[in-house]
Order: sequence, then C-alpha cells, then structure tokens
Amino acid sequence: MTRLKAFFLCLLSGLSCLFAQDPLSAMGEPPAKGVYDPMGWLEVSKKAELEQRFVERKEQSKAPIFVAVLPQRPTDGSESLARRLGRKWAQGETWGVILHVVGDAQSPWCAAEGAKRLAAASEDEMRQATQEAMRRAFLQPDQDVRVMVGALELAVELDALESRYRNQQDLSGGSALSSITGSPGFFVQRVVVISVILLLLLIIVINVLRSKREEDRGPGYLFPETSHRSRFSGPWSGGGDALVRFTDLKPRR
Amino acid sequence: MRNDPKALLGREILNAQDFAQSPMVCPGCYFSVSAPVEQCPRCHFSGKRLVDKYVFDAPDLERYVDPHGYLPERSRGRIDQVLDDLESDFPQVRISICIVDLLAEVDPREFGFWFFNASKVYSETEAQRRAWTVLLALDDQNARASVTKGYGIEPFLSDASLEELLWNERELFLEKDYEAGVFNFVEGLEELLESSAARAEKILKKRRRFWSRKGGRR
Repeated sequence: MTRLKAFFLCLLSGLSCLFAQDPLSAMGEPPAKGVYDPMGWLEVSKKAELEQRFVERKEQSKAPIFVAVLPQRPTDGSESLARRLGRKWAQGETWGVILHVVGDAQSPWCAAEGAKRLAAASEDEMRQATQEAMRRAFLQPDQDVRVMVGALELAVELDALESRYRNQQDLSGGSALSSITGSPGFFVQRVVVISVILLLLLIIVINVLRSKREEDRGPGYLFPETSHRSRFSGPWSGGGDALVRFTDLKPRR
Repeated sequence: MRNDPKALLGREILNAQDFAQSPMVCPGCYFSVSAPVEQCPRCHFSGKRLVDKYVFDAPDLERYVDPHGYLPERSRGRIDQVLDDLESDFPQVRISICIVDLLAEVDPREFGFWFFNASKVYSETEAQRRAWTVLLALDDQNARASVTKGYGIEPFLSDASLEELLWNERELFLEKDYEAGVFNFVEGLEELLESSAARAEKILKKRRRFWSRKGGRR
C-alpha cells in the first residue's frame, strides 16, 4: 500500500513537472520601463525612481537593465532564470538582469551578457562586472535598496564596458571597421557602391571612346552625284544582275 | 576614304557611265542593254508590265522588311551596329534587308526591281535616299538572294562584286543563320564601298587633271 502511494506521488509530481507553466512564458513581454514587479513589492516611489533612471539611461545606452521581482524561487535556479529573462527581453543587445525573490535572504541575483558588438569584452569581464555590482549592492542592509543599488551599479559597469570597447575600437581603427564591415549588410552595401562607381566609370569611358571614334570617323564619304540611267520605267532603280542560289555548287560568274 | 561633304554641295552632276562598273541588264530576260531604254528590246519588259503582274501593293522600303520574323529583335540589334557604322561612313547610302518567301517562278532580281520601284515614296527625304538604297532580297523559301541598287549608288557597285559577297555567305544563308549572314554581308559591303570610293576619287582626280590641262571648267 505504501509502495502504491509512493508510486502515485511520483506520478503526480512528474505530471505536475510536465504541465507546470514555465515562469518565463508567464512573464511575457519585457517591462516597458524595465521593472517587473507584479506584486508591488517595491515601494511605489522607489519603483518610480528606478524606472525614471532606466528611462533616462535608455537614451544614452544600448545595454538595457531589467529588474524582476518574483514571489518564490524558480525551480531551475534564480541565476539561470535571470539569464533566460535577459536573453528573452533584450533581444541581442548587451543586457543586465537583477532578479529578486521575495523573502529570500540570498536575493538578489544578477546576470549579464554582452551583445555581438561587445564580443571584445570577455566572459570574465562580464562576470567581474556583475560581481562588482552585487558586492556594492550587498553593502546595503535593506533588500529593496540592495535591488536598486544592484541595478544601478550593474548599469554603470555595463556602460563602462561599452565605452571601453568603443575606445578600443576607435584606437585600433581597422579592427573596429572590421567588426562593422564584417556584417553581411555592410559588405553588400560596399559591393553595390563600388559597382555603381565602376559602372559610371565604364559608361564615361565608353562615351569618351565612342565620341573619339566618331571624331576619327569624320563626316563620312559622299559619292559624286551622277546622272540616273533610268530604264525599264523604273523611277528609282533599273534592277540588277546580282543573284545567288545557295544550293549551287559553283558561282554563276 | 573621306571627303568634305560641304565641299561637295551644289556640285556638278557627272555622267554615270564614267563610273559605272556593270552593264545594264533587263530584270525580265537578263539581256544587257547599252543605253537606258523604256522597254527591253528583247522581251519588252518594263516596270509598267510588272505592276500588272504583281497585283498587290509593295510594302514600305524600310531597313528591315521581314514579315515572317526571320530576324528577331536581338539579331536586328547586332546588325544595326554595322548598318549604323556603314551609314555613318557613307551618309548617302541606305541598306534595306528584305526576307520573304517567293514563288519558285519569281526571280529575286525581278522581285527586287518591282519592290524597289513600286514601294511608295512619301517624302522628299525618302525620294533623295531611295536612289542611294541597296536592297538585299533574301528568298527563304527557295534559298536565293539578290541585290538591287538605286540609280545613285548603282555606278559605284558592280553586280559581280555584290554577287561575290552573297556567295561568300551562302552557307550561313542556307542554314538560315540570317543574323550572321546579313551581318557579314553588310561588313563586306562597307569594304566594297571603301574601295569604290577610292576608285571614284581616282576617276575624279583624273578628270580634274584633264580639265586643268585643257584650261577648262575644272
């Protein structure tokens, strides 16, 4: 009987795992102002301040920061969920996510990733950035302040990485170009521009050669005017005797 | 061969016989006549009789007269290049290419004579150009070809040399490769006109020398 009970419990838990809704899908679209807090855990004024900072930052930075507040720890781990959230919401940009679980003393968690154009920043640098942000966040005793500080510090770290990357590219020049020119779109543009220039040059050369040829040709030759040997009542031609049968083996003349 | 067209404006009309390279031949019986005649003394051929024979109207004498479309647009584009070159080098001369299916009993030379003369002349420009037109008539049905010339260009092109040009392209024409055949023919015609122009200049020079010796008009 005990074995049967255990079996049903296992079956139920297995089924519940199968049909459990993925928290990621439940969280839907990225929050417009960067803060996902459906339970209203953050004080309204703090949330507004955070959102205001994110909105201001959005105009200058391409690396969005998100804050997500959850009622309980996700089954697949907080950091993993933070990473998945960032990838989903940021859509290819460099991003950072601060994930907070209400009532969890270890909160918040932090994750960040660099976009392709930030490929120069290594994983180590990203890890250092998140660690530094968290270190400063955990200096705060209150969890809500921790979340805010963590988010803002992470933003500062990511912006620093972005600007360092940009400077490196500006200094190296060629490599910066290569990272931009490496994109297929730029290559196609370059090919089109070069083709158009070559085509224009070709047209100019052809026209110059043609006009030169026309000059070389001169006005042409005019045969002398002669009297018309009008005959057989033909007003324009008296006919001729040039005839060839293509099947003939020998010429007539 | 070049000359200054302006210098030739209002020039004297010379005797065609001084330049003529071919005898005058009746398009009906191919009998040679020594002087222009209204009717062939042998077969009584004349244009008027021919009009009765060909009961339909002649089409316009254009660059291409090709009712069955033996020369598609692409081919015409290629031939146009050599025709334009030729007509630029010899501004008086115009070439017309006619590809038709004739009855076996109709001789292309006779057809050429009829078409050349029966085709309507609508303008003064056309009237001036008609005498300098060279008509290449190709008979696809019977694998034949002839060349008919207007009175203006006639003294400078011999039938024998035109026939030689046609003969050189006979294999292409027999294979119905009209694009290549006509292209080569026009190129050959341009060379022929070059040598004719050189010959004409020689004759003119001789005439000038003759008249300067005589102290006459030239």
